[in-house]
Amino acid sequence: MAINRRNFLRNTAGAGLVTSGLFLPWRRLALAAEQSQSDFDDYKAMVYVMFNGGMDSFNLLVPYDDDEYKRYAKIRSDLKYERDELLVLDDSETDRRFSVPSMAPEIRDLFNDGDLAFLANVGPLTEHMDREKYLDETEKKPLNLESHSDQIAQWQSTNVLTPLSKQTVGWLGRVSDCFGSTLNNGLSMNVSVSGFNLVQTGESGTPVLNPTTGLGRDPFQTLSEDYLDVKETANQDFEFGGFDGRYENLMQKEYVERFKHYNVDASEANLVYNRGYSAINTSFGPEGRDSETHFGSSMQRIVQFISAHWTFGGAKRQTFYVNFGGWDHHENLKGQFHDYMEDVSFVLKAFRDALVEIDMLDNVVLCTASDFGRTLTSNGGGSDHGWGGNAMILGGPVKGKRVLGQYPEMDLEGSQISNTERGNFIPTTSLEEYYAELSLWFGLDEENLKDVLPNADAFIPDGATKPESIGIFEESSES
Amino acid sequence: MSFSIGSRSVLISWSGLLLFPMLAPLAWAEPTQEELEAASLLASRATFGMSYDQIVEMAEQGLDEWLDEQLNMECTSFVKWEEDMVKMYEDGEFDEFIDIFDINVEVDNPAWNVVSEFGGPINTIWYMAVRYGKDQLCQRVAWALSQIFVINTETVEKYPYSHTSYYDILTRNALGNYRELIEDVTYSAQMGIFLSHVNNSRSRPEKNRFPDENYARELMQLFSIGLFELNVDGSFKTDSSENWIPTYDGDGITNLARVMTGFAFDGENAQFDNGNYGDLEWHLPMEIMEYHHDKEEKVILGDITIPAGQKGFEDVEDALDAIHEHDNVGPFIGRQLIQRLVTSNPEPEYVQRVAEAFNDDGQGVRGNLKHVVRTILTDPEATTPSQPDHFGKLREPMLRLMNLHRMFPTVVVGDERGLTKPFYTPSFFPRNQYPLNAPSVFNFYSPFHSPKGDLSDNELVAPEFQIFNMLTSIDLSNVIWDRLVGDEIEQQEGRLIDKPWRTWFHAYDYQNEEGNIVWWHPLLNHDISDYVELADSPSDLVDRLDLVMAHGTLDSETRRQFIHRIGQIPVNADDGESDHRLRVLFAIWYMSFLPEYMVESY
Repeated sequence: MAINRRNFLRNTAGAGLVTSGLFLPWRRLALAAEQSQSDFDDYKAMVYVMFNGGMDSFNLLVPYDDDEYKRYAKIRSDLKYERDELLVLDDSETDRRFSVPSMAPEIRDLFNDGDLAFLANVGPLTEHMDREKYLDETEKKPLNLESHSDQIAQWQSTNVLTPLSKQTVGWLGRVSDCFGSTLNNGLSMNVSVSGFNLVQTGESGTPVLNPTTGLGRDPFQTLSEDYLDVKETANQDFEFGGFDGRYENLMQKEYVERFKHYNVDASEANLVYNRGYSAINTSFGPEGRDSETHFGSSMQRIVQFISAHWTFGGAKRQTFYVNFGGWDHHENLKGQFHDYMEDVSFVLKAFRDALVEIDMLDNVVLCTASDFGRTLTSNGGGSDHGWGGNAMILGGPVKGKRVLGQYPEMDLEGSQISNTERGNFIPTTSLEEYYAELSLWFGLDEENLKDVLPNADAFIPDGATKPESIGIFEESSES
Repeated sequence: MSFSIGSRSVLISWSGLLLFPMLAPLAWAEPTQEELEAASLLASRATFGMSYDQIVEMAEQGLDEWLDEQLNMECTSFVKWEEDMVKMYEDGEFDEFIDIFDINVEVDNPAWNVVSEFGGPINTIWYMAVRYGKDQLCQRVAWALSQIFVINTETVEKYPYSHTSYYDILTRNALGNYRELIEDVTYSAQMGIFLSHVNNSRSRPEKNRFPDENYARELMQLFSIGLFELNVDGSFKTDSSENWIPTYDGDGITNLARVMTGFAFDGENAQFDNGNYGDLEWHLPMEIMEYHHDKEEKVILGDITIPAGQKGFEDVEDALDAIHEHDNVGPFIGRQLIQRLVTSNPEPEYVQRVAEAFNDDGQGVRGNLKHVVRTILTDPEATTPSQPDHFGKLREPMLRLMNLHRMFPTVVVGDERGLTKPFYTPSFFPRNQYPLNAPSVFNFYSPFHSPKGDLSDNELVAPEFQIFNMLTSIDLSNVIWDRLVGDEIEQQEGRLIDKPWRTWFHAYDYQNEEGNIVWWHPLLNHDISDYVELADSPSDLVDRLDLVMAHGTLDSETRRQFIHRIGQIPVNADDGESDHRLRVLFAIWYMSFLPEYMVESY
């Protein structure tokens, strides 16, 4: 038989070809976790939303009582919302009245429905402190306050004294380490729809990444079948370890290892995604816009993953990371904040509604993070980098309709102000307190708290075994 | 100024520059293999890729002489290119384009609107300059600087000349002086918008208004000195309790922010708080309106006092002088330039030699970037093969793309619609990296990114790995396959002719809502005739690729495996050149993933 090119390619690629890893689970780097928790019999998902750039969240959660509003308006000058630009929140569970700006009616609704709570003035801390303590130079403060890159890393790792170059693992990555490699039948717990991130990186691996644009691993769509095999031959050299152990250069070793993983993982990520794809019908596109926003499509994809969690013999715990960037509103704050918050508000409600549609609302908690809050005072149109900020927590298990933590007084001379000219709030709730409660809900053993939050001791009262509850959840998860 | 396109035509640039491939070498003594490998290694750092012929020529010329020539070459002006494009519009050369693409020309500047339909002129001009320009080293350094002095074209308004004139600041100063560079950047309208120090007003405490701190902060944190005091070798200074020492505090930011007040756009319609960018003359530096400038005394960098009552430009001059003189700049900027050009983890001695070159060029001049770049490229650590096992860096996506286009020279193939002026849009480039498009001022990746695993355990950084992930690694591999091999197959089978409008990323939409094609990416062929001659001998083919793409560093076992794979691709003597071409293209594709290419090392 005369060998022509196409037949040859078919023949050489035939025997022993494994179909793109269909039956391989997402694999985690083979590092043994130090501790391992037992299996779970229920499913829980945690969504970590990063508002990259530093959200001006004291314009998201705004005091509404007369005196306090007046103080807010005076301090924020041209950045303030007029009173008729604010939507007052149900105050039946709060000690004072709060409001959100008018482009966020869905956030108000989520709050009033009891599915959303705010956590006021949260941020990185070494320990609780007021201004007097802050100004004491012998007291340790988080490194490089106000620096985007450092503060993002600190929010994700809680290592507030660690320089950026030594930030290697984050909160949810450590939780994954504690749960051990048998969780989810080896399927990675941490999935990111927004690329690499620190919070989901643990000793045992980095998050599985899934694109939001639907490409994934789709190399073959325009090629004739004859040539797939040629390519597959080369892929095999990587996927099946054809280069393992050959390279001593550490950079080359890293490359070989990662490329192999990505090749295998990509096809499987797409498989899961495709199974969840048709499961929901909720629109994630805000009205009046042509199509879904980037944030909307990312959140929709997360719901699709959640809806397909059972496809791998039952994933029990999953976290999802989504990054919504662009909040560094040094100028034209009111205009930009309006557009961004309109998007957030719409999409959060679409997310809640989609979870109701697939009957998973009680299994999911969404929490938000941002580099820092921003200066209360204006730079003439915008605000600069601050410290403490307000977070949102959303989900069925969340005891909503409340403002948790301590919302600070709108007073530039107040004891929680670190910079009396610009009005930066020293956080009153630490990341450790915020994350401890979420970790316990997620199923972490209390004795492992210090493994996932290395600085937890600073926030555990004498004689206690965990930080004081900030009360995110219904009674059931309080011990 | 014709732009004649044919499968073997000579290209002429839009600005009329001749873009011939370099002339064949004279009959000098043939370079040794060692000399060729050294030339290839230098090319991987100092250029966006060189073809085999060009590598031979570099070796024949002598690397010192080649480097001298490059260091003294005038850098392409992007603004000039844009002016040429506008002139072409005025000469009616875009008419057919406007027709076919149904472009709305009823705006103030129709010429620019034409190219803005294609993602703005910066992408096309950047591609043309880098693909065809002789000033490779200048372009490489400018590209590195664009990753330090970051602006984002989506954030900065798109207006005529806005992006090209910013890029000209980088090319103009790439081999110039750092002090001038930070001055040009500080006064540039584009940076004024991106980091919001334009229309930045002095304090008005009675109104609770204070100067915007954005530019002041990033100027120090990212563009000059970084967060911690450094020794000249880049290691951190420590205090008596072994803590790193911050370079500035909140007061330092506030004070420098007060220096950066009063900036307004220049030009005919200049006024403070002018938000109408359409009228701007983007190449003009901003000016400082004294009424809006803070006149009080400022103290920056701990102990440097800028006296009260000075003019705005005097304050800025004092502040930039102080920053320029700070001991951190040499190691901080020097280390990053080493990372972009040579290796992610330079030894302290290497950083020190480069920092010292920054501090004094031998003529008493501080901040001479030409001297810094020469030092980086000729340093013993860069040129001596025995290096620690972490030496090298992962190749950036943009380098991978441009390498393929230059190592295996692309030829623009015309098409039956007669459109002969290619535009290059963002979707032509790798999805996660293209000119002036980092997601934030923190660039595509952090110079401190340390991937979890062996590298972080060894306290090593590898910035490029931050954007090397499941999505991007697979995506780019597919794109390279499609462009190299997929297109070739389809052309050979006569299928591609039906869709000359295919995009670089085939998955992208390239039609607008009305169904009109809005993006056109030229169909490119690679001139690989030299390699086709080698295709019958897989080992010769592999060795040639090893030289061009990995400067002869291929592992012997990998080489054996590679040769075996190439041998599996059949070539049929009766099939003309087509089988041979496919074998070569497959080999290039395979080589483009091998660790010796992906990681530039020894």
